[in-house]
Amino acid sequence: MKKPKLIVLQFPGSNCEYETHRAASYYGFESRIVRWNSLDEIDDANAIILPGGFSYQDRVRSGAISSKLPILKKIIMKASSGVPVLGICNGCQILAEAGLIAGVNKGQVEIGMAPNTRDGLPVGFICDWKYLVVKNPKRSVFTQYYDENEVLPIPVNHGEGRFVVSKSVSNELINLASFRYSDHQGVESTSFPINHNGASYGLAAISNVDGNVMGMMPHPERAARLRQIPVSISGEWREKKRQLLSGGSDGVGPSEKLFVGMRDAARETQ
Amino acid sequence: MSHVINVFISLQQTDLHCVSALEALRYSIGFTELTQLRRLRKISFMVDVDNKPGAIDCVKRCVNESFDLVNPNKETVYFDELPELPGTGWYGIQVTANEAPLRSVSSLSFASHPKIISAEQGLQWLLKIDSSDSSEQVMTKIDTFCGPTTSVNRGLLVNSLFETYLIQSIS
Repeated sequence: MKKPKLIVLQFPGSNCEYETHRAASYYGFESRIVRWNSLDEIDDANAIILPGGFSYQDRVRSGAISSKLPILKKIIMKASSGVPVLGICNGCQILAEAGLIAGVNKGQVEIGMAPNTRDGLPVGFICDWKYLVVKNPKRSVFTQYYDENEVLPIPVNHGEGRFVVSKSVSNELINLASFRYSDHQGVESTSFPINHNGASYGLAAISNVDGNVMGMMPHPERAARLRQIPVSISGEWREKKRQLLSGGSDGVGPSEKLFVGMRDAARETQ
Repeated sequence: MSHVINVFISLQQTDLHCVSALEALRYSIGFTELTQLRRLRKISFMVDVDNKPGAIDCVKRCVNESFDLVNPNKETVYFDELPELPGTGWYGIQVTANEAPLRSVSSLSFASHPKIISAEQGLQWLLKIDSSDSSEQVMTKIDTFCGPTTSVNRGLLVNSLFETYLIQSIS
């Protein structure tokens, strides 16, 4: 079967494009990195990822300048035609600033990515492993192979990852949330330290209404392979990692189903 | 009696936030009447001193004695006034975060200044508009094109989901 074509967009200041490209290639994409000003090169894309980083040095706000680039208008068109679009970290911030998530009112900015806070006070940049619990898996192509309330460990790395939602979205949050922060047993919380950035509803990822666009602050490309998981993680992944350290072979990581779900959705646009 | 003293801090070299924002506003959003854009950090101090000159002195001492409020090697500070602006047609947008108002303002800076009750940090954008429209019309345009971001084609300098803003006519 022909591999679907994936574009990993490189903005000035992106810094996760190569590991995202490698993770996607591992899960069956024909992936390539495309610069932000190569407008024609995304025409044949079956899937698009906006990777993490600090595009345009986070000038004005994270993702704000990138969201005004001509290529974003093309991405909006691709998304409206059903192409899966994933925004990771800074990519999520760009999608939010461009109004691609949550899509309750098409084209309108409904999600803000605010600086991390704890009880209303700043906590600054946070780099850590967190646990996510899956919500509404069948509503999004990215979570379609997960089970409801499945727990996965995944790293976060951001200073402005606090989801703030408009009223139009807050009524839909229960349906649109794809991942929420939890402990290793899947117990959700909206307070620190589980919800380390003060996000509304403990949101870690949100999909659009159509289910083909998702913005997530954690980094799935850094949890794509078993060897990327630290041994300090709790739960079933700790056991898998221990087996690897005891001489077992490397295998898939917690974000396997996310990439596979995206790949299968991308195949439908070929 | 308390006084609010605004301190404005500008970079001495080219501010890249302004370069990118000006390009985005002019060429992506199409607000070509905007010809110059400046950005200042703004810290609003509430000071418990009887008179305003005394309050300004108190803030000056605090700012000059601290290491993290202003970097005198690369920033210029203005106490309770904006920098002098050339010509007319200048408008402003004040932006304040709804939460985390003390962002990057260290409590250490205030330890020896008990008369400073609070400090809120925000941004002051200065916009030079080349237009023959009335001040009210220009402010409406600024609100539409430059203010709260509502879509890829509208707004940039404010995200009203977590920031509040005020548009001003300056000169």
